Amino acid sequence: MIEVVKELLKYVSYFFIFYMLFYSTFLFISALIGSIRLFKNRYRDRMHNTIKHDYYNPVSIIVPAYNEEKVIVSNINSLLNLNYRLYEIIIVNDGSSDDTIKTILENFDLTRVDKPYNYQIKTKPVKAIYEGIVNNVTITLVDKENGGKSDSLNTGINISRFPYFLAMDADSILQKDSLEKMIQPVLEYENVIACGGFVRLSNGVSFDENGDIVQTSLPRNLLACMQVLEYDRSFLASRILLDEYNGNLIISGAFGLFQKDMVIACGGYDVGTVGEDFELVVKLHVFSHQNDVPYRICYVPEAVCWTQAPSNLIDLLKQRKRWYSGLIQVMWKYRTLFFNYHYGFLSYVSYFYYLFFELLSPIIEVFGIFVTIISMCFGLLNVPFMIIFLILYTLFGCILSLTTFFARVHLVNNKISFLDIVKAFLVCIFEITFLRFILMVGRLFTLITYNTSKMRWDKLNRSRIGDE
Amino acid sequence: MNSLAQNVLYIYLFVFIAMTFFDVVCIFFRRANEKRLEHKEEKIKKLIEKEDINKLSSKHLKYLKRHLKKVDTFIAFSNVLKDMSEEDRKVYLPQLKPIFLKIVSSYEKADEIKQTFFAYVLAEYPYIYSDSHNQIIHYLISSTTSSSIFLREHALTALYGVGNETYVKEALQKMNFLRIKHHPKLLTDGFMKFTGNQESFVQMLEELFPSLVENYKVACINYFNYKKVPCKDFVYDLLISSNESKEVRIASIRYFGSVKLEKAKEKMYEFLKSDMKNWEYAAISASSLKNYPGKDTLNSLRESVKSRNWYVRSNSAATIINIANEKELEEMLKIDDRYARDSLHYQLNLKEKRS
Repeated sequence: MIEVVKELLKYVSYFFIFYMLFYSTFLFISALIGSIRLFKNRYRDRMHNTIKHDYYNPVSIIVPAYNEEKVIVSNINSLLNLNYRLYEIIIVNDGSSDDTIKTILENFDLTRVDKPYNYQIKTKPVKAIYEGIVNNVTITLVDKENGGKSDSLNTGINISRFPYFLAMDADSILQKDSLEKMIQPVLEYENVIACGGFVRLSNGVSFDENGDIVQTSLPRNLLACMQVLEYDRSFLASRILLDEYNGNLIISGAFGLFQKDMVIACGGYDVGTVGEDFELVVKLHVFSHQNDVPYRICYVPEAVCWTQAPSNLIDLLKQRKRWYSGLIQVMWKYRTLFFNYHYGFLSYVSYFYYLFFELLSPIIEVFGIFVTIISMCFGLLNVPFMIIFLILYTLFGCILSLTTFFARVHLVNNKISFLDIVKAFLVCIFEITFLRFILMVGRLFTLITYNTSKMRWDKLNRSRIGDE
Repeated sequence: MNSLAQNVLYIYLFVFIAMTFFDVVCIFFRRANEKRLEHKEEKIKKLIEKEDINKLSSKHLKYLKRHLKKVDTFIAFSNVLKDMSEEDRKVYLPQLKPIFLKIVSSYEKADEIKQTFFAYVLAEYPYIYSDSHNQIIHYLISSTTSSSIFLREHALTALYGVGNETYVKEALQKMNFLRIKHHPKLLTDGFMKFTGNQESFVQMLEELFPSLVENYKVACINYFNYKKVPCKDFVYDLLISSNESKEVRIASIRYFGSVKLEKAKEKMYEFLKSDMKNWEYAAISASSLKNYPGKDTLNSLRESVKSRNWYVRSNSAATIINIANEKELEEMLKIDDRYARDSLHYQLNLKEKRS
C-alpha cells in the first residue's frame, strides 16, 4: 500500500514541478517579450516612428454609469480635454439610485431630446435622452432602466453614431493622448476589430484640472501599492506576448476600443455574465474564426487609462470575486476552445493559460498543500528540496514583479524617486506572499459559492481620482 | 527532474535580475542621457551661431558631414533646427544639400526605425533637397514601399512637400504595383498637403487612376471630393459602373454630394429605391442628395425616409430638413410613418438648436 502511495506521490510531485516550471517559463517569456517590445516602442517613439494627423477615425466614447455621482463630472471633464478631434461622449445612466443624472445636468448644458436611435441590440427601455455640445464635443446622456453594465454598453452602442466605440468605466480617466494612440493600429493594420490599452492605477498619481499628470509615485496604501506591481506584471507581460500572436482574450472593460459592426454582428455584450469585457473579446475571436473573417485584436501599451484600485481588502476581494466569476462563466461558455486545432494559438496557448494558470490555479494550489501534508505524514517529503524550490519560486515571483515594474518605469518614461525604488523592492515580497495567498483564498471561496453569487455586482466604495 | 527544475529557475532568475539591473541603471542614466543630448544641442547651436549662415565655412560643413551620420547627433541637430527661425532655416539648410546627399547612403543601410527618423527630418525640411531629382528623392521614392507604415508615411510627406507631382506619381505607381496597403485616409490627408501646382497634381492623379487598386482609388476620389475638383464625368463612370468595388462607388456618391452633376442624382434615386439590398449606397445617397434640392429629390426622400434601415431613414430626414421649404416641410411632417416623423422632428430640432 505504502509503495503504491509512494509511486502515486512521485508522479504527483512531477506534475507539480512540471506545472510550476511551465508557468514560470510562460511568465519568463512574457516578461522578456514584453520588455523587448516596450524597449523597441520607446526607441521608435524617440525616432519619430509615429503618425501624426489632424483627423483620425471618429470614435464614440461610451461610459456606463451606475451610482457614480461622485466621479462622473471629473470623468466627463477629462474626456472633454482629450487630444483628439473627432469623438462624441455617451453617458448611460443605468437606473442609478443616487443623483448621477442631476449632477450631470447641473454641470453640463444638456437638453432633453426625442432622439430616434438604431435599436440593433435588445436592451432595457430608455427613459430619456439629453443632448448638448460642450467644447465642440457632443455629449449624450441616456437615462435608462437598470439592466447592468452590459445592458448599458449595448444601449450606448445603439445610440452611438460612429463606426468605432470606446468602452470605459465612469471611475477612470483617459490620459490626454490615449485615444490618439489607441486608434493608431486601425490605420496601421487591416482588419483591426478591437484594441485594448494599458490600464494603470491612479492611486498615488496627482492630476491637475485638465487631467494632466502632475506627479506619479507609488501609493501610500500598501494594498494599492501591491496592486500597482500586479497590474504592471499583468499588462506588460502576458498581454504583450499574447498580442504578438493575436491571442489576447481580455480587453479590460475600463478601456477598450471596438469596431461597432463586428460587436453588433456578435450580438453585443452578453447581459448574462459579470465578465462582459472578457466575454466580448472571446466571442469576437470565436465569431471571426467560425465565419472566416480576417481580424486582428491589438494591445496598445502606449494608450493609458487611469483607474482606482480598491484600497481596502474587502473591496479588493469583492472586485476579484467578480473577475473570477466572469472567468468561470466565459471559460465554460467557450469550452469549444479547449485543445481545438481550428483555433491554433488561441486554443493551445491563450485558452490553456487562462484555464490552467488562472481558472484552475486555486484548486491546483490547494491540492498541492494537501499532497504536501500527505507526503509529510508518510515521511516522503524531501524537505530541503521543497524549501529551496519554494524560496526559488517566491524569489522568481518577486523578481518578475520588479522586472516588469522597472521596465514600465524605464520604458514608459516615468520618473521615480529613490524612495519608490526601495518601496518597490519591499512591497514585491508582500505582494507575492500575502496578496497572492489572500487572492488564492478569495478565488477558492468564489469557486465554492459560485452558484449562489455568480451574477452579483458587489458595490465598491468610490472616490474621485486623485483623492487618495 | 528536481535539479532540472531548479536549474531552469536559476537561469530565469539570473536573466530577470540582469533585466531589472539594466532597467534600474537606465532609469538613473536617463537624466545623464538627456543632459548629453542637451550638451550636443548646445554645441551645435554655438557652432551655427559662429557661422555666417549666408555662406557656411568648410569647417562647419566638414563637422556636420562627419557627425550627422550618428543618429544621436542627428537628433540633436534636428532639435536645434526646430528652434531656428523659418527664414534662417531657408538660408541655412539648402547649403547642407551636399552633406545630406552624402549621408543618405549611410541611412539607407540603417534599420527602418533610423531610416524613418531620417525621412521625418526630410519631410520637415524639403527645401534641403527639393530643387532637382537626386539621390534623396530616389531614396524617398524607394522608401514608400517599405514595410514600415511610419517610413512610408514620412517618405510620402516629404515628397508632397517637394511639390513635384512626378515624384508622387512614381511613388504611387510603385506602391500600387506592389499592392502595398496604405490607409486611404492617410493618402487623402497627404494629397491635401501637396505643395506644388494643384492642377498638375489632379491631372496626374486622373491619369494614374485607371491603373490603381481600390485603396488608392478611394483616396483619390476623397481628395477630389475635399478639393471639389470638377472631374465629374470620370467619377460618374465609376458611380454607374457595377464592376467597380463598393468602397469606390460609395466614395463617388460622396463626391457628388459636394460636386454637383445633375445626371448623378438619377443614379442616387435608384440607390434609394434599392435601400434594403444596398443600404450603404442608399444611406450615402440620401446624404449626398442635399446638393440636389428640388421636387424630384424630395419625392425620392419622402419614400426613403420610411425605410426600414435606420441609417437611410436618418440621413433622408436630415437632407429633407435641409432642402425643404416651410410648406414642403409642413407636409412632410404629416407623413404616415411614425419612425419617419420621429426622425424628421429630431433633425428639425437639431437644426433649430444649431441656428
